[in-house]
Amino acid sequence: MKKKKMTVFMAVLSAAAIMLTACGGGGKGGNGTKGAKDTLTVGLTANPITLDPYNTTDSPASKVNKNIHETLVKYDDEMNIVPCLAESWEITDDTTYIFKIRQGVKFHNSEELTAKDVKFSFDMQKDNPHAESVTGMVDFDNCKAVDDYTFELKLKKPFGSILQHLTQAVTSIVNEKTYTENKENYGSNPVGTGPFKFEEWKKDDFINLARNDEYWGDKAKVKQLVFRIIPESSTRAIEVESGGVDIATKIAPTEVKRLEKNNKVVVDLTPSFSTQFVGFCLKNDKLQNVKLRQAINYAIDKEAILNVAYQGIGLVASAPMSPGHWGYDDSLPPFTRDLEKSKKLLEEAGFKDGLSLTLTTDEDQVRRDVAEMVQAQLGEAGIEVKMQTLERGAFIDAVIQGNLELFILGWSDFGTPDYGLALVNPALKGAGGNMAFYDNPEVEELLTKAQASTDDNERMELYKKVQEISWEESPYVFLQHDTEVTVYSSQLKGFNIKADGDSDYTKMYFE
Amino acid sequence: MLKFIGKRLLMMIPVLLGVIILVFTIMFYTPGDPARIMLGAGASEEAVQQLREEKGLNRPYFVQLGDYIKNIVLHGDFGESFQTGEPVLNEILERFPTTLKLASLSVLVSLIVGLSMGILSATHQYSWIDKFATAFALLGVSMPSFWAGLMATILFSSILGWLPASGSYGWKYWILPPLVLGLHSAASIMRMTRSSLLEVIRQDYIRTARAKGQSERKVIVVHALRNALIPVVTVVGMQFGVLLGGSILIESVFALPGLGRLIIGAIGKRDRMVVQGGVLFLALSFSFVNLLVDILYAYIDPRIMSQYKALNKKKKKVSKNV
Repeated sequence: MKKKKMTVFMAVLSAAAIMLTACGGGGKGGNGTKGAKDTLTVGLTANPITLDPYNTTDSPASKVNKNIHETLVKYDDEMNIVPCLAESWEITDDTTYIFKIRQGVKFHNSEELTAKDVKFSFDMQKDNPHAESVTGMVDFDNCKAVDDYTFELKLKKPFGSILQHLTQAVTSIVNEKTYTENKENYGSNPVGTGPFKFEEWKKDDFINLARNDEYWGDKAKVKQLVFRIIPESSTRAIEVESGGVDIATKIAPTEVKRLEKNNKVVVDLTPSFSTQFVGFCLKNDKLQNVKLRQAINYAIDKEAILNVAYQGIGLVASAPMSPGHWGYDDSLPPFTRDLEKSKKLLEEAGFKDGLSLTLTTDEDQVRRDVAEMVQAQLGEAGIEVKMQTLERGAFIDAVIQGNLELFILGWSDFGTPDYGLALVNPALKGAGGNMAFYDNPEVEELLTKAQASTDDNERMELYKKVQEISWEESPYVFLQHDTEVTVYSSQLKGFNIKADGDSDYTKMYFE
Repeated sequence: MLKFIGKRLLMMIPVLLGVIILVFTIMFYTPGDPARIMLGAGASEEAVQQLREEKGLNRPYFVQLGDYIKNIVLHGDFGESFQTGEPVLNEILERFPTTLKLASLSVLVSLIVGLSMGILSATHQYSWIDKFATAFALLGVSMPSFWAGLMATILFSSILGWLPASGSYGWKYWILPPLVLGLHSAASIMRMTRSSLLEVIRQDYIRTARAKGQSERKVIVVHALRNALIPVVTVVGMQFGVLLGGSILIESVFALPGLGRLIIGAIGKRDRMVVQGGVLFLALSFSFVNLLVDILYAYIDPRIMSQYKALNKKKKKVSKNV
């Protein structure tokens, strides 16, 4: 009797096990396993929040979205503005842009793109909190579709980098009919004009896109584009090594040495537009002192931090914008370490006997390593640093409210100096980007002037001046410009990646 | 028995209510503004304020908590995710099968490995088998599961190329994650089985069984193991509960779209509704597993069954007297 019960128990257990294994089989979507060489699989860091381009500025979402939706203009490989859905454009006066819309472009639902869709797409930005940089500048009421293939964009005031802003996923052009009919579910069922069509999305797992055979431009070489969501950097790298994915984005610098030894994979190092820094919150009276900030800047050894914490991957920085950026001022050298000078400045600043400051970071391991190095280096200069780690959300909150003293963070730009220099823009204190709460009427005036100008040479001069002032006044200690680490299969041909981290997947194929 | 189950189900209500209030309060007072996180660091204060207004995040604590509980009790509505706008229940149900499968397979692995090693080391006390099993247990308990997971993928996917490194697109994908998780929890099952069995083996009725001339195998499997199983079942139940909520690291390492990853992502984004719903769901599953374990006790040990029955009878008598 007892034996029988036991057998029943064991049988139930094994039946449950078999059931569980059985129902798991049959992977959804043609996920890129070995051999399927017309499928390109890309490892993403996180699940996109939504594929509705207007409802997020989240970076994984934009990576996927740029294959489905297109914008009026886009960046080429060298980050120059080139035509996309707009065949050409004309600037009739400082605030009027006339775009000629490309003819014969079809949405994935076979509807043809007209200027009406463009007008509709712009109207969607009117109260969109995700597109603030655009919403504040565009005069929506006076934008119009002149005819089926002409769109007139009116600005409230001159805005030199409007075209750069129009490359962003949040200004994607959607099909008016589909978007209005299907607004609720658009985020999980997008319809664009891009080189790939949306097929399937299993959240936190994968997104399948299929080649758009009706595409107006060069059609993609692969049939399927799959984005797999793999949160762990090490796992993404191992997946490329084992052939599970073809491209893994955002690999940790610590993985590079190991991966470079493997001839099955290629490690790509592309300088990006993001910069890491130690910020000073100038809401503190102590940190208002320029000499103290300069003393700290001279005490920090950026070279050592780059070599140890970032494994030598990146470039020592002197300004918020990276060398590849058109607004970059190459005449400003990075502050090299000079302890004597630092101590002298500290004395001049009135801190002869040293002082104590708190340095805050988020939980990111690399940033914490940087913080430890900064702590030791400042200690040598006679500045006692207390370290504090906050959870990411709480950290960002504290930074933009100006509740900290020193903090370590990064800033990414998408190719427009207005955005790159937001870090020092007195008009954008706190959440807008100026997390140091830096104030200087001259800088504000220069930046306002630059924003309004459409003359690139004039803008460049103004931006240079701003960079010089901020170099001198040091509201931040710029540590390094990041280098984007991407690993891809050595069988993949046509790999490309731009400074903003985007790739053109249509050019990639397998031999 | 049914009455016992009914009573236990009723007792879950205060537990779950407690979980709701606790998680809600923690999330409410955690620094970090969901509206700000949703719009990004660059958005203006006005836009963030407007979103707060829209999502009802400006209302006082008690109003929000009251509304939350009311919606769950009256409409079975767990709210919507701030980030995606999707109903929280959909988000959870989409992920739960993966987590359940991972936990079940891992428990299966740990049962098979833990039980057999536990029995072997108890019956061969102080032999090399016992020493090996004890060493294995020590290793299993002290090795962090995410590290073991990474090492396993490096070995089996990158170097040997036998198994896929991550994802869940077929049976091959379901070998490494349950093995890593299962071996981790097998250690505690093995130790529990060993000590519990060693205790039982020394009892008089086992000596009697041996004296009757029964084979050693029969003595152990039929007579001893059954009585040694009670503490083991408790451990397995606990492990299952822990695996349901605690396989977050393994879900990340193997990129499995489970509940743990949903909750962790939601915590980072202060997506309160998803965190609350997710934790509530896990608490509910944990309570069910516990109930299941209690019911299992009764089937394994007739003494407990009779206790349950006696409890009912006593209750009846008391009510009659009143």
